[in-house]
Amino acid sequence: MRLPGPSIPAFSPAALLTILALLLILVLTWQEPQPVGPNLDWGGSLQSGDLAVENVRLSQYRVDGSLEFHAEAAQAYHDPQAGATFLYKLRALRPQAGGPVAMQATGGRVQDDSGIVSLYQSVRVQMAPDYHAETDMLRYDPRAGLMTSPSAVRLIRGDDWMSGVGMRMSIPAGTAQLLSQVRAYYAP
Amino acid sequence: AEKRAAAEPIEVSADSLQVDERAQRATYTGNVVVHRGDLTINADRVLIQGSGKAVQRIVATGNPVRLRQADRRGDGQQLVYEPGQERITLSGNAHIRQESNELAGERITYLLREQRTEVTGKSGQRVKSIFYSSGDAALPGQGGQAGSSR
Repeated sequence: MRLPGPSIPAFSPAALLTILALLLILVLTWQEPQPVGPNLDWGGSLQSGDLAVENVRLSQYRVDGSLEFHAEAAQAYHDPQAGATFLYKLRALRPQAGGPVAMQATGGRVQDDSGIVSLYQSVRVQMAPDYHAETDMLRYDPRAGLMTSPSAVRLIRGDDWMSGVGMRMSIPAGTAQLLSQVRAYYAP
Repeated sequence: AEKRAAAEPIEVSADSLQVDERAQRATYTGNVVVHRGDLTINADRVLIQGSGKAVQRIVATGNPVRLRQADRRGDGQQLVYEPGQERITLSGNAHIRQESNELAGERITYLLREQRTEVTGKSGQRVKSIFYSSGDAALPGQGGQAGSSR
């Protein structure tokens, strides 16, 4: 009969070896989370996945430290392969010489290297002095100040509006082109 | 009808549009149609010059530009419409017809509010106006450098 001795955990050598192996794998594969693109200053609570976050605040800065671009989104994640940040339900702002450009859309993508913003679905852009544009797809190159869209676009100013399919707009030059199927309405 | 037109919006359709915000200018090109009340302008190219929030001037060019308003038809190389003054100026081989009456000259200014038309010929050229009173034969054209008719 065995007398009850001090209870020794019944770790068999095999179990110990397995645990050690797991620890080794963990140590070898651990990667420091990659910083999200150039001087992107992330905020918000981290979730699982590649830096998927909620309640995102994304800010990009110029070399002189001034704010170049600021976006807030319900959700976002950064995809290193694509070199881009994908945002959901976003609002973005870009301070400009002539006045800020404010954008909002259901979906968005910010390219790390160029800062180019692509917006999708329920896109609305507000520009100085009192224009706003509505479309369902827009590409905005903030550094060149160029906006383009292949889709139907409506430019609205007060009660006047212009619409067409296909748009090219230069914010620094203050010019816009609507490429086809143009309609315009000038209120009395 | 003309008074109500001034309170009407201006509607434009075209193939393409170029906006210059700083110059407050919109240039429409290709199959351009401009509507305001019962006034319709068909042109190849239309430039709309804004001033503040108002439309100051519409310059239409074409081969020719065509104007239609109620029973009046007009055409010329260029048409300038100044909504504020309710004035239309047709120039470049300009014609205005109303039923079988016709005015032709180098420049025709048509004042919508007063319902008055001024015709100017090219220097050295005569102005041509043809008026039919109901049932009569054609009256000889009126001479003179500039004529105005009601």
